[in-house]
Amino acid sequence: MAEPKIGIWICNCKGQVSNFLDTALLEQEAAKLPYTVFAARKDILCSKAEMANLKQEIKDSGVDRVLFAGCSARTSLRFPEEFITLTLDQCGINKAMYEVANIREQCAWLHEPGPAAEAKALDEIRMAHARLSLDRESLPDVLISDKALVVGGGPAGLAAAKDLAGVGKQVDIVERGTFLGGRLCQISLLFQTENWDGKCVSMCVGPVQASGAIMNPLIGVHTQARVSHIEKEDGNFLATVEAAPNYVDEDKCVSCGECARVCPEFAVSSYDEGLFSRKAIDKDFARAVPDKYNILEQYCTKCGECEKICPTQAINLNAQPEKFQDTYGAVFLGTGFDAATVHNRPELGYASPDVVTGMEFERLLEHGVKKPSDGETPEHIVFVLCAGSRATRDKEGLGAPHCSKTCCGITMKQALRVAQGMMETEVTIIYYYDIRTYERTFESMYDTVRKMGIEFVKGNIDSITAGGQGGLSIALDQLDDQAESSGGEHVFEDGKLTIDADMVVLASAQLPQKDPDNLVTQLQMRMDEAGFPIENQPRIFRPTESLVDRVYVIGAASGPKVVQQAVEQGHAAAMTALPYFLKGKKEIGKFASQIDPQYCISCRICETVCPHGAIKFTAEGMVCDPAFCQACGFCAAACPTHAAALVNFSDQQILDQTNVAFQGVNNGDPKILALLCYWCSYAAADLASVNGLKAPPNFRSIRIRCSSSVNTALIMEMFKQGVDGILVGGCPPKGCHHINGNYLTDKRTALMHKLMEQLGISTTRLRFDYIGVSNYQLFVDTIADMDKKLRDLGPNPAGRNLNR
Amino acid sequence: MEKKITMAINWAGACGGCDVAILDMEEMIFDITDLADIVYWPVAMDFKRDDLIAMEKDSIDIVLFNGTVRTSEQEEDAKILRERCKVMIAFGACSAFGGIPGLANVSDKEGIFQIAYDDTASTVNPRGATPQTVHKVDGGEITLPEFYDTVKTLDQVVDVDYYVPGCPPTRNTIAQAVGVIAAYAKGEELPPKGASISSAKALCDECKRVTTKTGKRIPEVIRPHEVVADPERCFLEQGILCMGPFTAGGCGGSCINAHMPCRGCYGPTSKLLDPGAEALSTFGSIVGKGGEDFQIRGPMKAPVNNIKDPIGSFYRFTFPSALVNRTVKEGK
Repeated sequence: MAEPKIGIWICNCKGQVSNFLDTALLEQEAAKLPYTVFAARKDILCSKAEMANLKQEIKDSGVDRVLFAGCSARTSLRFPEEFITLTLDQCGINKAMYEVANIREQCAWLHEPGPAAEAKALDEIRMAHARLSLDRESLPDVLISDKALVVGGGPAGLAAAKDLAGVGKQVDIVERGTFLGGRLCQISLLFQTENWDGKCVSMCVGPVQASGAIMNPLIGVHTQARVSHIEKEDGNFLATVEAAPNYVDEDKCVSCGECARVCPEFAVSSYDEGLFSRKAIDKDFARAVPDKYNILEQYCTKCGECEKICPTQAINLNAQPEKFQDTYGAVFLGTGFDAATVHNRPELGYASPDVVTGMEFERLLEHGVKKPSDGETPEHIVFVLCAGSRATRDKEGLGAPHCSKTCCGITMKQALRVAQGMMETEVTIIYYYDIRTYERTFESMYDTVRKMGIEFVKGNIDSITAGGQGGLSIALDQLDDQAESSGGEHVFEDGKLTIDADMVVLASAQLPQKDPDNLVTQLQMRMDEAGFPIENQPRIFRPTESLVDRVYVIGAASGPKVVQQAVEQGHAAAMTALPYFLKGKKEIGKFASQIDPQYCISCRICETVCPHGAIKFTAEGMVCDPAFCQACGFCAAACPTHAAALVNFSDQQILDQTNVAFQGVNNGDPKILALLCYWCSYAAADLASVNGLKAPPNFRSIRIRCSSSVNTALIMEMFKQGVDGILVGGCPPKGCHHINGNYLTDKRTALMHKLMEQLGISTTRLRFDYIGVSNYQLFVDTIADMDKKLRDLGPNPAGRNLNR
Repeated sequence: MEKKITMAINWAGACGGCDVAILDMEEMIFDITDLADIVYWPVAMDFKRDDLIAMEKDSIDIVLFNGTVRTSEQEEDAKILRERCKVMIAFGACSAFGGIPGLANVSDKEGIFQIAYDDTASTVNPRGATPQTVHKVDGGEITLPEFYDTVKTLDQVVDVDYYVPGCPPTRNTIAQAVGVIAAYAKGEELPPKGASISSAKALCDECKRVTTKTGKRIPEVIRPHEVVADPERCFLEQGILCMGPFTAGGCGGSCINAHMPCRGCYGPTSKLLDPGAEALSTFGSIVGKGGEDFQIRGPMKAPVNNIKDPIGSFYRFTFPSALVNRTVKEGK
């Protein structure tokens, strides 16, 4: 390998640095560092004039890598890393070939001017130089397919598919059911928007949405199909789609319905939530798209009656299952929701036919509300809110922990339809602590429902059982001091109340749809407690992105949603994915993990810890796909053989940095090394001085990829090198960019403390803290506290030769 | 027949198992005697230290040195042998990285004497006598070697050419070592200096259980005596700590085959900075059921806090060669 050619630019920051540090001396010393072919000092590097000069100087000096000493690459508002890589690109230098010595935020501003600060600035330049000397060019970009896979043909999936097809990209929609549109087709009246209390009719908008997809030649629609296998391959997704036999030719079928008329087999209609039946060959509803009859294989006996009667010879009962494989650049999971928790809650009485879920009631509203048990019109319908949601208070562990957020609004809509359309039927709503009708539409419906005199009872369901007048008896526990219902009709006595009804509607929780093909496991995604995929950090700005690159979770699959919100997410995800499709490639950043097959033992520990599903098990050993790697370094810190290592964040680079870090620290002053995570803790250290705080000048920091990117053996080596104290800073709880790096480090530190206690080394010497960006005060307090305690302790005994 | 080479075998701070392992080679031992004349092997043949001292510089071709350096006498022996030999081989885990006796580095001379000559129930020592290096008696003084505070590996006192790991080295490993001796005798190319007679890859690479390893976490650490382990599945998969991933292969997985997890006697693989801290980093990363976002900090850390005795678990055979190779005393 050719010897590095390093150029060093030191910025005075118009006095913001040079008033506190002797930058002339820094320049002089920096010029003496190995491989340095150019060193210069600038008044203010980020100005337009200086930038033009800089580009010229980079070209003229022939340097192949650049060291900037000045402001922080993390928090600078004018010269951050994004800007630096852009600049280097313009100069023809690879984006990885730079380092920054942060002599402004973490030196000139953070310490009192004087020899100690001067010495630190020079150490920081040495550290950046040590790291830069071993930097290598980033890995090459990875070509990706510009075809998208949409799993689930509901409103979210349709929105994403149509957007991408709209810009000329190919999309495959794989839908498990027989029609496109998903649950929106099951809900006859939709909230038109959240902010407008008009309604939208699904029999109108459903087919329109679905046709927009099916008519588009770029969109391949596969109904009654599933993604049976999916894996990541060379930056793409390789998926196998299996579809039920295409018994009915769409070209020939005219949807006359003759086949269903003669079909002798009845089948459960999932479209009607199992409340009504269809035929084995049938169309779930008249306006279903694709516009053709379909066969539910599990009910069909292949008797041949339909084949015989079909006037257009559209039916072929010998059709075979279909299967194909394709490569996709992105995956959109719009697999919708399920309302399963009611089955796990026997006290909700769901076993009784007249206790139905909200979705089932939607179907009853469509067919005419009759009691499923006897077909009679119900006299008293009781709606029960939070049936399976919010199971954290009085119902710990019983159902979903979250608020399903849509149910209050949906219940108001349903109650209103009953109250307005069924004059003889009484309506009662039982709610749990509060009613959550957010936004204008829901609140206005709630307002109307109250004005209509519908009775609201606050209580916790004890049991719903057969009995009482009408057949159902609802026993309630009083929740707080509110003993009387809204209209005074029901009053708790001794904390108990029983209400009789002949129909109960459970506002059941929205949970992720069942995943029989284990797509989320196959894609190596991380889930939260309820089973929803976790979004990538920072979540507020990446609302559809999962932790796995280019896997987007949209619609109710990512959390409870109404139709409109699902559509919004579909559009948003399509736009987020679009840049990849337009470029046809995934650019690989400065850092990425690589696994050396020479040392890999296929123990799969890297795969276990990888939060981004970038590592896969192959016959040749573990392989990290750089197109999915987000360079958290967990694999490198956990790999038992050091086969896994990060490009441009190698053990050697970190140790070389440590080795030169404390040249300017006086004997007797504790040598404190702060290993600060890339996004949070390092920025906290920067913002300390921005906010006018000061810290002892004998600490040095290394910006690490994640608190969990540093192997504890490296920490041991640092102690061996004579570092007196080490602070590892990670993101605050629930804030790690890689899900759990902060927690893993917390755990490893606990284990390391056990070892240190055994070794007789004070645990004061190693500290882990959750330090968020705004915890800059905590950062300086921690450094000051360590400084004080380490002074009392004296030099680190592990740094000496211990052979006696 | 070509001229035979000369060999010495020395026993220092160790249990004697390495010498037994050499004898345990059965007829293979004749391969050694075909190649070499044994000029010094006090435990098996009639040699005295003075015979050794009388030998000339470079007069021994190969030395197999087993055991740690615990006393001044052992250090002197090592130096005398080094001076007289051309190739010094650290034989067995003790001389290579400290072995089981190396765990004594959790204590020091004073602590060990206190236990051995006072604390133990079977000790009767009313005068409180402890070994002294010099003791005056009528007619002069008698001496004992100095007992060091710290157990050392062979390469911490003399230059070492090759390492033969194991506690003790297996027959197969010794056979490979004999191969090196034969290569030396025939003037053939030798492994690079510092090489270990073990696999470049970790034990898992030759372990048949590795195929049962999945990408799952270890929810809880289980100690071998607490469970009847599945004889087919990877120990780590069952929550039992196994040093296989960190330990050089070459032993053929004798412990695994006897249904015990690897304890690490073949020493760390070549890229590891420190045998124990590396294991700590790995286990700290995979122990615990995951989903930490939804746990309280204390219980979240409980599974790693349940790992007993990090030194004994992770440095069982390697403590004296660790980055921090003994305990120190310092305030909290």
